[in-house]
Amino acid sequence: MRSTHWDGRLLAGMVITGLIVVVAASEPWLAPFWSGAAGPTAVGIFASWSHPQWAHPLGTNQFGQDILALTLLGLRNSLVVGLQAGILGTFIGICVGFTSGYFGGTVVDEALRTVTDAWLVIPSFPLIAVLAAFVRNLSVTELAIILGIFSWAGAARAIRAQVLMLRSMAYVDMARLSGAGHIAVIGQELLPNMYPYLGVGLASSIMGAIGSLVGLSIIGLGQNAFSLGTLIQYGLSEGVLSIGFSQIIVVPVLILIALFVGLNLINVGLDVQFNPRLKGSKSRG
Amino acid sequence: MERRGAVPHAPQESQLADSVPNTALRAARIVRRRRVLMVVVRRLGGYVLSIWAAFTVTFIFFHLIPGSPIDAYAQQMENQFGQQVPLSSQVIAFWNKEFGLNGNVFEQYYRYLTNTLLRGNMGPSFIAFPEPASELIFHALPWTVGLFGSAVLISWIMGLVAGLLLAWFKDTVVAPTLTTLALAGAQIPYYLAALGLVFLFAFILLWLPQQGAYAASLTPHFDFRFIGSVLKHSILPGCSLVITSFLGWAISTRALVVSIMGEDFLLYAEAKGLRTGTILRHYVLRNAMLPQITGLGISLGFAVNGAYLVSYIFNYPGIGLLLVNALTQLDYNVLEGIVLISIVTVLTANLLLDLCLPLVDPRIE
Amino acid sequence: MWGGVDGLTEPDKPVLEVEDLAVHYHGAGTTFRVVDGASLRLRREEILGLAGESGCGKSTMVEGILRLVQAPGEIPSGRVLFHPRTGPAVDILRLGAEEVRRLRWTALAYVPQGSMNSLNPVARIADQLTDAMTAHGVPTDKITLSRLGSLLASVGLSPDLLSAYPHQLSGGMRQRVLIANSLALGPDVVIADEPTTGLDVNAQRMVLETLLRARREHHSALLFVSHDLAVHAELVDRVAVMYAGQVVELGEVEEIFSTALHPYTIGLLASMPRMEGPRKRLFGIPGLAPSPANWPVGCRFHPRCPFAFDRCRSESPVSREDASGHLVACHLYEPTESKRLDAMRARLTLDGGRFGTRLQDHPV
Repeated sequence: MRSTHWDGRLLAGMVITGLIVVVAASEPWLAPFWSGAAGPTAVGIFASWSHPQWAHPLGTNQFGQDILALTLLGLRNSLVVGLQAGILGTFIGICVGFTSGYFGGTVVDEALRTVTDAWLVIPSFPLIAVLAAFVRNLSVTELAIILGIFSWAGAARAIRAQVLMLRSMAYVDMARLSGAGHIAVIGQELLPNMYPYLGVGLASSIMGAIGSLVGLSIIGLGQNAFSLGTLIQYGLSEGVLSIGFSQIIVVPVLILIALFVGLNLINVGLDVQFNPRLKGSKSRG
Repeated sequence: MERRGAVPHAPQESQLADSVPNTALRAARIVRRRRVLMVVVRRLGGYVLSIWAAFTVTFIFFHLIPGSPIDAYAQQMENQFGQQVPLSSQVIAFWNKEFGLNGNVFEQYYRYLTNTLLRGNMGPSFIAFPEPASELIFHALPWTVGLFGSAVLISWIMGLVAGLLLAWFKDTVVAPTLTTLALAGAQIPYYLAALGLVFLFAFILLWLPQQGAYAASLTPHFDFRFIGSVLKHSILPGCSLVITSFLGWAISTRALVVSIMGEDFLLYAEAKGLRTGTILRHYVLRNAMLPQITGLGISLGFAVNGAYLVSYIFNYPGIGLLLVNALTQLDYNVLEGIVLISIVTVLTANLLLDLCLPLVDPRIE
Repeated sequence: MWGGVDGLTEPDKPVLEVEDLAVHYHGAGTTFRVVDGASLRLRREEILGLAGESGCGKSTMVEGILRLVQAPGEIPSGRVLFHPRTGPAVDILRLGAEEVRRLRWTALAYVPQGSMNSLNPVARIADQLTDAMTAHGVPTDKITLSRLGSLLASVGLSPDLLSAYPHQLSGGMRQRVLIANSLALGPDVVIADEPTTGLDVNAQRMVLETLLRARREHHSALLFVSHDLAVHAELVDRVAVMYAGQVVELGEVEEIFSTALHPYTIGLLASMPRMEGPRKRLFGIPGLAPSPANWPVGCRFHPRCPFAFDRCRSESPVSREDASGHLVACHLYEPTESKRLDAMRARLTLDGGRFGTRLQDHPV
């Protein structure tokens, strides 16, 4: 049952996310089609404010930049930062969650859980925004690190619960009785059973990071990472909706919505696919 | 006859009534009351402690970030005059005192705690100097809380109803499809919904205003025209909050109701021949409500820091817009105030929830 | 044990007739025919036991009778005839939803299995007694605290518990609340599904006692489901034995215990410890209970039956009734098979009235 039948939502999510990732990854080869060899950010190559046409499917902006090429660049950057931050966040989440769950009920667990709960309460967006505003010229990597640091708590909590459950199962005791150390038990017995949940954690962290990144860009922060939010911010400040260039905002918004839908479907699908509790029906004698 | 004696004790009709003695009940009640008091005291203590921790962490955070109000002031001068302005020591001393930065860290910390925590005074703002930061925040607060609070309430109620329907009709063709759609959309950030709505209603259809909290021609007055304008202006920002959070509520309610529908007590209720309405209200809804009330409390706790960007996109005079304005001018005190007020609301909501939940849920002592 | 006969009602008149009931569940690409052609007849004011191993479909049959089968289950065929005190019989399975709703609790009350979760965890006991009454038209001013209190008192519980929540009650108390609740409207039939299972001996005794009094005071008939034959011996007038989704034997309880007819019943009794007589070895029935997804062809007991012959493997036996009303569905009891029956009886006598694994060594 486990591997033969794939959840439709998981498949749909992977297809949507996969398509977006493929497009973003091929940006270096795709963008020059419309932006020319100078790259999407080069200024003044084309006429300003040209409406959609064959050479510029989404038109050009005030600076004569090709909007499609900019959108692809923004998508690529958003994904790269989101992935970096997501991986970092999940990594921290795994460390905290595993330690907390593995030592469930002890002082270590208590302390880590308190920190996790507190972290969930913290209004992360204003704090990230404050950092981004005060630390001028935040590099892309620094931004990813900040976003990652703020997006681990949810993953940690989920992983802790899962480890607690697995730990109570007999085979972990068996491993421990047979003389395996803590690290060996975590690595050989627990981790392999956690892959789906790590996937869930990663998807949530990426969603959180991209959500914050785009949000920051919309209010004009973190400008070193040219993201889809930067495009939206530019669109908003130029009032493009009123002058007939709504694609500058609408296309990034649609891409982001598709991305969030895809990632969330993966989340839900993974949970349904691998969570035995959601499967099967109860029967009565 | 082998029947007798197959069970060790044959029924004897005389031995009945193992009622709980009244005195025992009363004693239990007194003990419980004392325990309730203990719990309340402990919760309050925990609340005060976490407030203190939050304020301290915020203090450290704002001291650790590079740059200070003085830098910010210099930056502002630069922007204003287009050149480096050397600040005189008097000016620096003035700003240091104004922003509570004179003395060593411990003095600063002590002043910070007494000022913010006890007097609610966060110092002067930068964007509207010398107006206090707290003044600006408390002016923005009602808009945010009003908008976000009512949006949460509306989406909560809608989600409850929708989740109930999705669960009740889960064996039809339509409901699972709708559930999947809701699942797909539930994590979309508010601001994307906001941008979509702005585009659709304010620019294509030209139905609704897309900026501000009320028509610019009006001044705040308690009359129908003003209130009408406020309501009309709150539709789009409100809807962008409602749409996505409504989906979340619908999904969680559906999951709850589906699990309740598998419970034995629901089968029993049906066996009793209760009307569907009674079953829905007294059995399904009442059981689904309790966890959802918890969720509502937590969501309301995020009233202040839930939707900065929506406020910004719609130019709505709430905390979000204030945050963005403060960020662009590096308004130290306002930013610190926003962070503090956000944390305080979350913690307060959690406290109230902890204290009130036992009143609603009989299972929690 | 005809405690309830008062001359006004005819004891042999049926109150509930289940004919050829089937309850099927669909899942994982197969159909589970959990109940598949089960019949029984409940007389007015009698206590009929429904016995059988767990998994034989007892609870599902009860849910079928009460029309409580939930998706993915369905009732593809069968009739459940209810005979009211006055008026013509109705087939519960053919009634409209509102008609069934009205019939419930006034005609057919249910004491569910698993008392732990059958009460609404967030409502007080009083509310859970009241809602059934109001749903069936008892005016609110007639539902007094003293009426509810005496309902609880009738099952030996203190009226104080009216304001309690289910989690404050022990398992035995909850079970008795359920019984009290089932008697609230003086129903014609009470169907109790394993009401004593999981209770300690004292609570069991109290439950049985209450059920007996229900019959005496409310003239209710009782369908008593239990896997525990000892409890049946204690309480019921007649026993229906279920195997693999069908009723294979039904008779007076004395007769079942003294001269059981169906090989399955004989085996079931042999596996039951006795308090009296010399200490004897217990015998289990050989083999495993079959799966509802794939019942054996012919007699469903034949793979486990030491007396099975060719016919049992191809042809399902029809239920036949002897002069005293004792029903059995077994090929051995057909007139043409009398030689085999005699052989079986001889074997059983040899083995001291029991059969078990030992019989497999020398099959008939």
